Amino acid sequence: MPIRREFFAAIALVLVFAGGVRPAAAVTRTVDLNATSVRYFSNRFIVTADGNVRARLSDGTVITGSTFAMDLKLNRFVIAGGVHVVGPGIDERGAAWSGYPDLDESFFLPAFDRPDRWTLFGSDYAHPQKGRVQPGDAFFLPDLSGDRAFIRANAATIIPRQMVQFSPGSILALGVYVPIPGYDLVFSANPNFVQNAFAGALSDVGLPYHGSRTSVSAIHVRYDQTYGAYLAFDQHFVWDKDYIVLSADPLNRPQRQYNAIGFKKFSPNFESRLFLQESVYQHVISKPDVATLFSNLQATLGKNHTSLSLNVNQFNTSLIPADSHHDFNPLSDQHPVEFQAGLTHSNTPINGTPFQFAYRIGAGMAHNSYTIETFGNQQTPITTLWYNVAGFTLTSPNIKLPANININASFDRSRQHYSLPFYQDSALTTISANKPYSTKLNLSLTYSVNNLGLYYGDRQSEFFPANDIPADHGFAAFRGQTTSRSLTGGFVFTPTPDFALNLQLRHETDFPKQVPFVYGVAPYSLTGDVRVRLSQHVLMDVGRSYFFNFANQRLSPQTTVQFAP
Amino acid sequence: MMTLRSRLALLAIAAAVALAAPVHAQSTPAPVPSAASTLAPTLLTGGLLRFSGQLLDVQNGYIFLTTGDAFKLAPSARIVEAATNQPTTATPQTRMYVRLDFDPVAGVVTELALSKKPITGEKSFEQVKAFVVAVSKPVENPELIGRKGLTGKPVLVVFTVEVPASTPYNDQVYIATDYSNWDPRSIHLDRFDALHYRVTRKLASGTKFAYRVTRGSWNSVERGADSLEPPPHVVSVNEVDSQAERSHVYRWSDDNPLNPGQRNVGPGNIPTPFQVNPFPSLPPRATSKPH
Repeated sequence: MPIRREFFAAIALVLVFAGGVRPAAAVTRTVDLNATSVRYFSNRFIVTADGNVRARLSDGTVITGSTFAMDLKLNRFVIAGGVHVVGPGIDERGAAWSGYPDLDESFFLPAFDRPDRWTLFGSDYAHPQKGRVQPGDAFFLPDLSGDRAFIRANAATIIPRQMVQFSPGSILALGVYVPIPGYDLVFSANPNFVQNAFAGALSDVGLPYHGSRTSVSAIHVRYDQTYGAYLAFDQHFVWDKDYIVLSADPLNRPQRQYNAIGFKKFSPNFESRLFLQESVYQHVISKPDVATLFSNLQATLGKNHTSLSLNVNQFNTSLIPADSHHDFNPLSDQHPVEFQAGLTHSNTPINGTPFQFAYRIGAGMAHNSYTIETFGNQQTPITTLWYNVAGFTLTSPNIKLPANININASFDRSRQHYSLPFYQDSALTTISANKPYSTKLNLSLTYSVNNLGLYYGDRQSEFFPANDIPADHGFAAFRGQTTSRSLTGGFVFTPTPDFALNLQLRHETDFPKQVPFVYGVAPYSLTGDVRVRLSQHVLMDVGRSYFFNFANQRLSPQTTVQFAP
Repeated sequence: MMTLRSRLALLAIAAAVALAAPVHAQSTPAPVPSAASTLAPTLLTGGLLRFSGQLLDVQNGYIFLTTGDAFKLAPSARIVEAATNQPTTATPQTRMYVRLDFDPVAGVVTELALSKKPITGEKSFEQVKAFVVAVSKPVENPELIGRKGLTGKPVLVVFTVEVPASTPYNDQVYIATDYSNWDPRSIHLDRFDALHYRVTRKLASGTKFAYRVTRGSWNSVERGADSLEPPPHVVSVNEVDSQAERSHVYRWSDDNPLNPGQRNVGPGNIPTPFQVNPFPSLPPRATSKPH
């Protein structure tokens, strides 16, 4: 219980402080925009404003005009039509004003008795450079006819390269504009704003309602087959290389997860990631019936092709006091923990050969005072288990053969020893050839063999006794070693960048043999994926698999449909 | 043992690989007209010059275009509808597209045709350049000198990603870009062989964006040779016909460093009270019976 309290107290504290953080105008360059109509075109990353446009820059300059357009990615804006600029050292009228925050330059077309071209540097509006040649597209206004705005509002605050806060307005959802009190659009090039602490869902629509340069809060409407439609919440705190993500998912279901991910890059060579997840069964915010905590810490020290990593898992099987009448978790009070440390070396060319070599060695320990598992027929309880791992991978690059055929191969081998009379061997061999026909068609053939062996020495037959099952009499030969052989033929046809057809036909031959309804994957499968561009900014991607009636399964349960830009 | 059906399938694939003749690459698409070249002067019968562009403003008897150029408007200038060439009561407004007819002697605009759609034109700006009005003489801008123009012409950009050998064959690989708000499934790549995924996209020259390679989620993102999170790749599309972008994924962020292919914990695959498995790094428990 104390752990849970501290965990949520920390989250609450961070949330409270984050809510109040707003960038100071003196430091942050912003454009506060008001107009009869402010619109955001998500497919173009363009904000427009029309009718009585008033833009206030962070240095206090106010520019009015009839229309405004800003390309958020190019990070420049234009105000045109009866422009009036009032600011420190300037009070002028003209045809258009263009701002380039990245260059810290502005371009102005004054309209006195005769027109002119001015270039202004920084906030020094009192000393324009007159006649200086301006970029040819400085006053470019995008053609948005045919595009539908994603957001409609009356006001927006633009923080260049970061985000736009729209208020109040409406967003386009399922073809209809839905009123919202505000929408904070993050378009930063920093991917930490989208780090995800949610478990997977079939669909997810985020509604960011509050944000700053370093944070964004969002409500998500999500859907999956287990929960149906539900709500979730996440909060991001973001720096250049570090981030914290907090989430509660689902908000309106009793079976809920509270997640926290923190990532910190201490130096160019050292980073760590902490992941906490509290899983509860809890009605609204009442005392949970079940609450467990899982913690994972990863720390990596890396340089060139080598890294040293530490991985720690801890699992608190119940955060509810043991005497609680709510507690029905049979694993109450267990705190199993696992440590793993490893040294890895990534692909390095082997002199004089086309091959690359990688290796990994490491050791780990798992401990649970209430028993990790029992061993053998005597059910010997194991509370602490040590293990060590060594493995390597040999990879060949693409080797060109006659007839424009490329071939590559890889071989991976590893052994893991345990502090028991037990070790595990694995080997994966893959050889692959492809033949491209220009950029439009590619055929490939891949063959792979995956061997996995579990070895118990003299006690092998205790763990793998001869079993005869009617569906596969060959299973009697199974003694803990499995082999999977797969052959995959690939066909990728892309006549234009706006259309792609991808077919993968796979045949899997395993030992023990796959037995329908018992175990194993389908011996034959065909996976198809088609991508078609429906419009300039919408690409539809449809995929599905066919299993040739293995275990009465023909088509995969779902057709994946995705729309992308 | 291989069944007859699998042998036939293999034979068909092998025959296709061996016999199919290479298809020669077709020429890449011609570049689209640039913004500047859509401004088109045409010498009309009767000695008038015609020029088109997009309107910024009309003030104090001058007409300003989005090129930043201003032209003198004749006091008696006609305003017509571009499609019909008939007089219109519409007033020139910012964002409208206009066609200007010049008196080549006086250098003033004598007719202004309005349209809500771009008016495509022909050749260059040179013939009306002399009619541009500006108080100050042009001063050279050193920032623009020597800068090669990027016309926005379509360029075929081929993204090729090399993945670790442990990447499951059925896994999908994507590119997440800052232009799609880092959607981890922005661009779907096709598996070309056991180690390579590829996709071709048509992008305008001058396009610049950042990307990262994912397996469809931010919990399965590329890692560098040193196992650390690399900075996003940056692509700048040059003024060329086609461009190749290659990236190498040394491992995935959810790979267990000691057991590549075995997934580390993440929000989607961690133990819960409802699915207890406190030791995700250990192998599945040995069993004497198939399960």
